[in-house]
Amino acid sequence: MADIEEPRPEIQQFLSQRAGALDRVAEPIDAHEAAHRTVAHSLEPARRWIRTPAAVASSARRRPALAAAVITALLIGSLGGFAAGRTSAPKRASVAAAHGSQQDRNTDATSSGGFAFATAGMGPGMYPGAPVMTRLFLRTTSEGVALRGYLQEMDYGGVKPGPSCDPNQWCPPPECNPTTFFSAELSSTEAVAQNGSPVFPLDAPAASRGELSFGQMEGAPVSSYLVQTTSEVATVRGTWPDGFVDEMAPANGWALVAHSGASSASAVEAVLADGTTMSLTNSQGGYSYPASCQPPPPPPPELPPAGSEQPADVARAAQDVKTAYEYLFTHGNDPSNNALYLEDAKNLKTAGDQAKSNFPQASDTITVEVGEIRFLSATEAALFFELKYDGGALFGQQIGYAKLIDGHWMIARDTMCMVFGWAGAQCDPPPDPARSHSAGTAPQPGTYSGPTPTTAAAASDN
Amino acid sequence: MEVLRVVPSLDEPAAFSEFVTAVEPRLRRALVAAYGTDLGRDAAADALAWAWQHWDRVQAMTNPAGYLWRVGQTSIRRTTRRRVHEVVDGREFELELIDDGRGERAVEPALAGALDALSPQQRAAVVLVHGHGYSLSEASDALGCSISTIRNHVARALRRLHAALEVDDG
Repeated sequence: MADIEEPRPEIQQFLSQRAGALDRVAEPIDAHEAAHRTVAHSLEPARRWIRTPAAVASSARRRPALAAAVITALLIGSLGGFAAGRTSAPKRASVAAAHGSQQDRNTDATSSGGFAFATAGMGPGMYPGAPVMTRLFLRTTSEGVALRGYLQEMDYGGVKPGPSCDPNQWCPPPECNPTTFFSAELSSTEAVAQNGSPVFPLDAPAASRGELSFGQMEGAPVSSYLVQTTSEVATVRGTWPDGFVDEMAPANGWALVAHSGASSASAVEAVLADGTTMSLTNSQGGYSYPASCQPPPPPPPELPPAGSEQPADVARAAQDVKTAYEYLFTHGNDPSNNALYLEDAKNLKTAGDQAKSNFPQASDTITVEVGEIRFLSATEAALFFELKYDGGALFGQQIGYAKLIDGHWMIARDTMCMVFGWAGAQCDPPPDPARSHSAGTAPQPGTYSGPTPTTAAAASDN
Repeated sequence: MEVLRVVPSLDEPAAFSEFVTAVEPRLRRALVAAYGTDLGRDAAADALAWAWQHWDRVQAMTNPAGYLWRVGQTSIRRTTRRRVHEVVDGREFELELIDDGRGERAVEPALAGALDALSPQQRAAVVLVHGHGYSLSEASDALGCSISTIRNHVARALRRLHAALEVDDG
């Protein structure tokens, strides 16, 4: 980078922070997600890019015959993708319902009741052993949107699906790499679309497994939701801002609800057999990932040893420390009282405001669990604490510090600066590294999640 | 009876997994820097899904990351085109081409606006090089263009950011 213009330090810092913030929010994509993602339209780049050196191996260049074959293949692929994902079903497509599966075009009643094999032609070139899809239900809403649900058993040719794991590290259990997938095929008079989800284990009676909007280009938008349920769920219900309600009884653990219009649903709920309702959150594009398929937070390091001097009333001091942490790290508290519970509160306000600005949802939902408290002296304590919130990465149990200042136990400045650092806000001056070292995957204060040590060093220099 | 094809058979999952591990960070960071977290990540996922569906072709490419950047841009265009259509029809929609930064606005408010005003290529180039610490060569691979093009993108982006800072300084 020596031969390009160097940015001013504040620009360098800004860009490092932007990069770190983007990295924190846009989570990595693994091969499993990529291989099971449904692309609802052709993504072939414009033709001028198809013959770039990047796109074609050197051995393949300047071979007109081969080039013609490639272009032909691309055209076929594009048309196939277009046909599958956009405005209309392929003319050769057909759906052969087996006995017992019916469709009612006049009502919104579910008409599942038997399995059927769904088949559709995608043109020549089908590969052997392609998965067969089993139809769970076919329902037409009162607005005429046809909702089809299928199960699909994937054949991996004997290869176990899922990531290859380091034996010394956490690995998702086998049920997190299922070979069975739910596929939703939706159509209106104007448009068709497809989406799907692996059949994951359920943490609760029901879970949202994705939101699918289609028909925008055709001028007839439809919004729909995929919901996976247990047998405890009697009905899945979607309610839209205009008052429209669509609901269906799950068929073989799956349900689809839909509404014609551009707005997303204001609520998607599962109604259990006992009449209680369960709201299904629609964060992450309507997708909820099972907790059992997410790695546990790493274990924290040990607390420092207890000091020879202890507070006169250890139980009272421990309660005061816990109170300070619970007050500061509970959403909805009165910030005018922060100075009672936080060391150097006045000078940390700027960093606190920035952290709140960066992650407002986390700030509005934060709570804390305080674990073991150990007194290092009569005026300083170390403790385990874990923050919980929505709208940001969770970093598990951490070590924090508290100090006795003017007769009050307060959260140590170093600890608060560590937490602010997770939210992309930096204290000035920076905290003591020995007292603000984050555990696990949490970023360290003054560093960012760039790919190279150089990036981190440059950021910490600022 | 014909059968619906959803994904190709998995012949080389390990090779594809290695490919994703190698290419994904650059691709995601470039698209997220250029188009924001939501659109950018979706586009990167779409591009990698496309790579899986066209695995034979991707394996023959000399710079698949650069090509997938183009695929991701195509995904972005299709997504935003749909949204524009809603506006033409007078329907309510939210244009979310650029994410709000979430990490730096309070430090230099003018810089966030200036960065958002750059072209997607300039924004991706300057964030990759000066935000993530990629070399010009790595960034040129990620964006599928020459090193001199990257150098120009970065230089122009920095000039605009400097100008924004000077205006802000008053």
